[in-house]
Amino acid sequence: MDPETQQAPPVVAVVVVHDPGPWFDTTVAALADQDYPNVRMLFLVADGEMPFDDIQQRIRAGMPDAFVRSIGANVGFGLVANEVLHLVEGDNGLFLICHDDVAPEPDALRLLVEELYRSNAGAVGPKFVEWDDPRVLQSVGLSMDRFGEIDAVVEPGEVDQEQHDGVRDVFVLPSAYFLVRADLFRQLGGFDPAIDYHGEDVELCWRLHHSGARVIVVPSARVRHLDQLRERRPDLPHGRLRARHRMRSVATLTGASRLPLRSIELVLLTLTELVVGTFTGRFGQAWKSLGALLGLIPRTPAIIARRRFVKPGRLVPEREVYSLQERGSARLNSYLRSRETATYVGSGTEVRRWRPSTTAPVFAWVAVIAGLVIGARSFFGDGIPGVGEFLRFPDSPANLLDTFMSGWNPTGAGATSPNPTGWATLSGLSVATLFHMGLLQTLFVLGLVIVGAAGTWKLATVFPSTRAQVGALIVYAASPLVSGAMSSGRLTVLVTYAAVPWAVHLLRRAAGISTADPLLSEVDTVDGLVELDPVERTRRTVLVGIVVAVAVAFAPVVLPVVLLVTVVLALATLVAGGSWQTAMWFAVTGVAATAIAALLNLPWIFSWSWEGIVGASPIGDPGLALSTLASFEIGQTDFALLALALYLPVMAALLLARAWRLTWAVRAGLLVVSFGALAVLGDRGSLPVAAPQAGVLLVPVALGVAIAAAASLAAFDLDVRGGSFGWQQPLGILASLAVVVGIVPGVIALADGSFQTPTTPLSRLIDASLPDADEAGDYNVLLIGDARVLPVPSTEYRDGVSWAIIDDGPLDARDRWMPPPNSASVLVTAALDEMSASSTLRAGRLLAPLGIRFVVVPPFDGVNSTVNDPLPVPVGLVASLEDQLDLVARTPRLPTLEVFENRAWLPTAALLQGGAAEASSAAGSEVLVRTELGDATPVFVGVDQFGSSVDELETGVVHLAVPYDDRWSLSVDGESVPARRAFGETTAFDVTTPGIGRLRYDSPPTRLLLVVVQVVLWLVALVVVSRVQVPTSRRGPLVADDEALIDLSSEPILDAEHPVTASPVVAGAPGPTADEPGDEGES
Amino acid sequence: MIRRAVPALVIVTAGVAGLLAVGRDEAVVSEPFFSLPAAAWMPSVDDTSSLTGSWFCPGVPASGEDDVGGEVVISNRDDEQLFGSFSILGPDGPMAEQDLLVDPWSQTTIDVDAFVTAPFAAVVVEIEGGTGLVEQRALHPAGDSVSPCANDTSDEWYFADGFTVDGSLETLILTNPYDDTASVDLRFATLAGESTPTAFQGFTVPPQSVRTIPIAELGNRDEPVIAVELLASRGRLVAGRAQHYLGGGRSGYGVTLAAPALRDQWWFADGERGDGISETFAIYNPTDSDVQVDSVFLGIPLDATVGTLTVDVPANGVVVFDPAEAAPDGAIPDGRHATVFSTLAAPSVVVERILTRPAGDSVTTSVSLGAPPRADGYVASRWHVGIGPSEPTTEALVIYNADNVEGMITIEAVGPAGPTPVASLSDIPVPPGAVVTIDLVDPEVLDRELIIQSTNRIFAERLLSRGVGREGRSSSWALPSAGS
Repeated sequence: MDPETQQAPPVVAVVVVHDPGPWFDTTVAALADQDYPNVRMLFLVADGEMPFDDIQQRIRAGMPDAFVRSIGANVGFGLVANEVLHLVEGDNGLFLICHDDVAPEPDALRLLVEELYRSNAGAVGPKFVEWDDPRVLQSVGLSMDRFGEIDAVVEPGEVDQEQHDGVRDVFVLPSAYFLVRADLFRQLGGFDPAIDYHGEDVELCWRLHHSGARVIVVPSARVRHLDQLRERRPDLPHGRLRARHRMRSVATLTGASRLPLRSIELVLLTLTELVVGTFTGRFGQAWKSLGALLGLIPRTPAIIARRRFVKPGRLVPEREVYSLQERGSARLNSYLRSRETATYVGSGTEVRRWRPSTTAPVFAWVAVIAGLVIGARSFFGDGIPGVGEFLRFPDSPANLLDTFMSGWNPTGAGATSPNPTGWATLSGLSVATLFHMGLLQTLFVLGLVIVGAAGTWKLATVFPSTRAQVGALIVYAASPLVSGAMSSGRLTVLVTYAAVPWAVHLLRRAAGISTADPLLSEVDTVDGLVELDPVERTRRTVLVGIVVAVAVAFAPVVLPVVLLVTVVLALATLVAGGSWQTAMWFAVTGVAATAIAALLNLPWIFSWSWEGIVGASPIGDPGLALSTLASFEIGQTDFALLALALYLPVMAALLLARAWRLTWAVRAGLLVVSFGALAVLGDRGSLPVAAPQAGVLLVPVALGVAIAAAASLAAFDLDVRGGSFGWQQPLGILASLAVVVGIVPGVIALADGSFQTPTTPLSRLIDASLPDADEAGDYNVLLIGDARVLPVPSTEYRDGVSWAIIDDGPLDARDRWMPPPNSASVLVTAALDEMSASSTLRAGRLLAPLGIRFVVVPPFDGVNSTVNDPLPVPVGLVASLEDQLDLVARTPRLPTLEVFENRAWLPTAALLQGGAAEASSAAGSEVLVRTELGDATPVFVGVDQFGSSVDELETGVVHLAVPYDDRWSLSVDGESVPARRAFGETTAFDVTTPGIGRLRYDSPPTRLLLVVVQVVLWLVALVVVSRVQVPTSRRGPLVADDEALIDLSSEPILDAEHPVTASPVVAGAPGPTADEPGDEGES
Repeated sequence: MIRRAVPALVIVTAGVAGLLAVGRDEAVVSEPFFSLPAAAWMPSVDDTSSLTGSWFCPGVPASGEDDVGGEVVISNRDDEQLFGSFSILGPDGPMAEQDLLVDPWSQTTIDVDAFVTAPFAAVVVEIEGGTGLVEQRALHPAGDSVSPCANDTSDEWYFADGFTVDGSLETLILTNPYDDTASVDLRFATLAGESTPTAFQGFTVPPQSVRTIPIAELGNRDEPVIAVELLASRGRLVAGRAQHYLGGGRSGYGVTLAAPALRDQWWFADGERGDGISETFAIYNPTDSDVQVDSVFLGIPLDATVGTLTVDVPANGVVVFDPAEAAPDGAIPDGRHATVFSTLAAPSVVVERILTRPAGDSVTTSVSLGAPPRADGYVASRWHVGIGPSEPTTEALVIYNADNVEGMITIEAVGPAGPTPVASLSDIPVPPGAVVTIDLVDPEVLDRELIIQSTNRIFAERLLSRGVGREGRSSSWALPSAGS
């Protein structure tokens, strides 16, 4: 060892290495070039894809004397760096903590050591500059607020003009390159072992302040820093980790006296962030903060333990540390100072650029939400009217969950069938409203609009233009589809409206399409593409699948719609001149996502039919005019024709846009044309299969129009404005004006306050018209009419005539799902056949086995069919019903509802005796019409699938008005009675001796298994998208040798050539404390 | 614009143009169809198999008086046993309910007055499979009367004729076979005008019961014509009418079924002009518009010059059309003829024929509702006679050939072996547009169900004896086959 080395304080540089890139050689060289004489290098290499030997070889090439140790699995920067405490003995020296992507200038370390001694600091750090452009500042120390939020001090992209070149105290030094006293680092226990990435520096520096040590930035020491952790570790949930560790630091390091108030402040701040985040497109950050805050609750024991651990290190009053922290909220301050960065995709790289922030998004979102609140103001007081599919949510979420768990699907005539995933979802969502289902329904319905608008907003981030984003948001939110769907209670349309933008947004992310660099707007970049590794692409694909699966749980039609959207996007990419790989990824990820969505809805999808997905068809075709379809007028919307103006930007965007704006204009145009064609052809009945309702097919059209509006606005900003005058300028202005005109109908629709929904919904009218089940027994109701008028999904009998069965309870949201297929249709179809052919006047007897006590024909629903604009009631339907000898019209007859009571009805659970009992053994309509059924005795009144029902029975036949199902069991005085078919289709039990009967339904044993499988599938999907990794690497010890490599205990403390007069003193160590005046070092 | 946009522009432009080409300018509303409105025709026999067949008889007297009563005849037109049931409804509800069984190719008769005693009782017959036909015979000292039973109920019924001159009795028989009360609004029209008596607005007929309305008791006495409209505001029913003529030029007794709908054509196969014969027609227009009704006499010699006689029928009015007065003298030759009444207006009229013929020392009056073609224009070529003559009867069938080509008629008698052509009544020629009468004197046809089989479309009426030992005939339609 040369004399100079012996006189300088020893420094152990600890470099944590993991899968280094090409830059690493520069790092090694820069570290090797340090002019500080007494530094020993310790490289801790975490396992990765790159072989250790290769890394070691690269290090040895630059630094033959460096210690290189394999550290095993990569458990996080802090934990690996902490290994220095084991590998280095003695405290007479300094630790230089380094990332593997820094390149310090040769004098950096020396300057840091000098300043550390000069200022008697505990830790010092350099000025960081950009790796590629050292003129640009990255950070010069960091400020922090009391909520652990970092304030970077320098602006992104800020050029270094020595404006920050003063040595000063800071609260945080980035862990990328900083010098800390070895004794202090050891005494504090190094980095918090619970923090693997993001925030370990904050936590350590905070504790340094608690210990009384100064934390100083030395701008004269310059270090280039690549800072590409996001790109190097895309598998990490960076945002969530940052939020989680920030919350942990606040919870463990805030003084006990201030902790209660800080906790309240954190809650309020997080809620404020949620609100602000909603308006500013930074909802994700706020959501992560909320998650992290809530995540503290289960981690309370660990937090308490950590607080105990750090307590001995609290050597200075809390107020002094508090005074070093920034006032207010750094994040809110950041926003208020309009400081915002965004990541753009450049030519093969990702760049983070300063993005000019405006208040336009805030105003746009305030307008959207305020508009929705104003437009739906009556819903807040009166609840969502039970129009169309807006049937009220069941009162009991527990009962809803039980119904889902059961093997019995009670909708329609009932059947053993998998139940819709949506029931469980609704039940789960009720937690958010503390099980207030009415509130949940209101929030759910209105929330779908917000979700759809938010999805469009996110999708529009492909345009690095606030105007474009706002344009897309407003156009989509103000689409007459919204008011139309609201006025007519089309929940399926709203679910599609909410899901499709997110599906497209997430699909493009899964395809690798990101926001292109606006500085490259002159270049004809087709798409801003990023390379995705298979894991990340899989994660993004699964995320699309989850989003589609949630939508499908409520509206199965979303599945084919998203699949078609995928195909259109893939083809449009090719048409737009995009790469075949992008098109392929669109197709592959789209197909995979829909497959995942289907998988997540197992086993319910096994009960699907195409008719169940798209709904029963009205007669011939729906018969809407082209102008009605094109203006999205699916419900009551005044001046909807003005929405036709929104098609001008579709063409304008194609004519004006360049680069990625053009690509998205093409995708928008093809969405509009293809789904517009489907809507028109479906409306004409010209498709080979039954088409979904027009509103569903118009959702992608509306999204296409919104994207086109954004593309035309972006094109006007980037491609037209500022150019020489020509036809482009007037067209661009016209397109902008068209957007304004096109949203007028959506704005006008807000005036009514309830979107012109009828005051007396059909569902309420039906409920009011039918008696409650009483001692006469439980019953069912047969609804017949035009499928568009019926309040529940129906089965088509013939063109324009559909039917559905509901029970005697009030209609609720469960009834809006298509009932499972069963043999009830055999009986109903037979009865309708006989009636329509005038083949019998005893149709009531034919319907009796299904427990149908009432037959209801609704001529009007107040939405699709109104008194002023009625849909025709099927010719001969009411007359045929009136003709039946056993059907009696209920009086007084309502002008809006035809109700017939079946005098031959059987209660849903009935005891048959005599001729009826005898007849039940036979099958066929011929038997039914000759049998007098009206004398049956109701039994097991109120029986359901959840438990046993007990009743006293006489001899006879217990008949259940459900399609034959041997999962229903009856025992009389403990003796099991076998089930048999009754009337060929229903369920019956022959009771030969009187006694106490016990009727129950036993779910198939596979039902629970299937539910478990479904839950597991969902958990797997959620784990995949959440990037949660099983921390197996933490279970074992790090594999670095325990034997010390370096011993600092015998190192000299002072060097005559360096102006260090005293050893810095740490709390607990001999010597003056940092609080004492005069303990600063001299130079 | 850059080159990359060209394919998309072409596609989008072509797509928009295509949508404009195939898109509709206006919304189209299609009318869904469930079934044809029922009860829009005359009683008929369905040749197709149906699940059940329901027959609603208009009512027979069952007062228990001597020689007063009624019976319902159920004919099995199949080679298998016919199962069914019948209910006899009276003023107080169902008075008897019983299952029935009819052997193949045979008939069963329900003796109504053996089950009940009531001024009038109506029978509802339900038969499985629908392969049967039901007719009723009202028995009365003034003469027996045969009438087909209705296949269906209706919420509207019309009578064009009514007669209370010289104490003649007319009784409306309203039968409600349903489990719910029916409510009916009645309107009357006489030569003096229309009336809507308050007492008969919302007139209720209790469930499964029969209510009668004696017209004379409403103040409509000595009226030569009283037309009635019954509109049910609630429920559906069956309307019949019993007429007992005691003077005013009429004589006899008859129970007939009302018309369940207004029509624009009414046909009569029978009609006769001659000494002592009175033939008039009551034409009732219950609509709010005046209509012109053309009457054409058919089956008369080609050189007859009667032409078309037009009758103006005022809105809500009834007129009595007497061809003898309307046509020039001699224009309508003596003898039989058929008649058709038609209007170019929407279906708006009901026409009944009042035919009074000499019968021994007296006369016999028979009132018949015209026969309308079915709504689709169908006229049957096969007609069924459930109740035929029980004794040899000349001119028992009057048949009008509705086609302008000669046809052949064969009468089949339904016996144990099924329908069998009667040798003496086979291949009877019917000239184009002519009226022929057929004698049923062959023993094979007595007390049998008969089938009139024609090569042409025909209208067939029967003229049956008014009872053993009584002079004169009672006129009623055979039942047309509804086709297959």
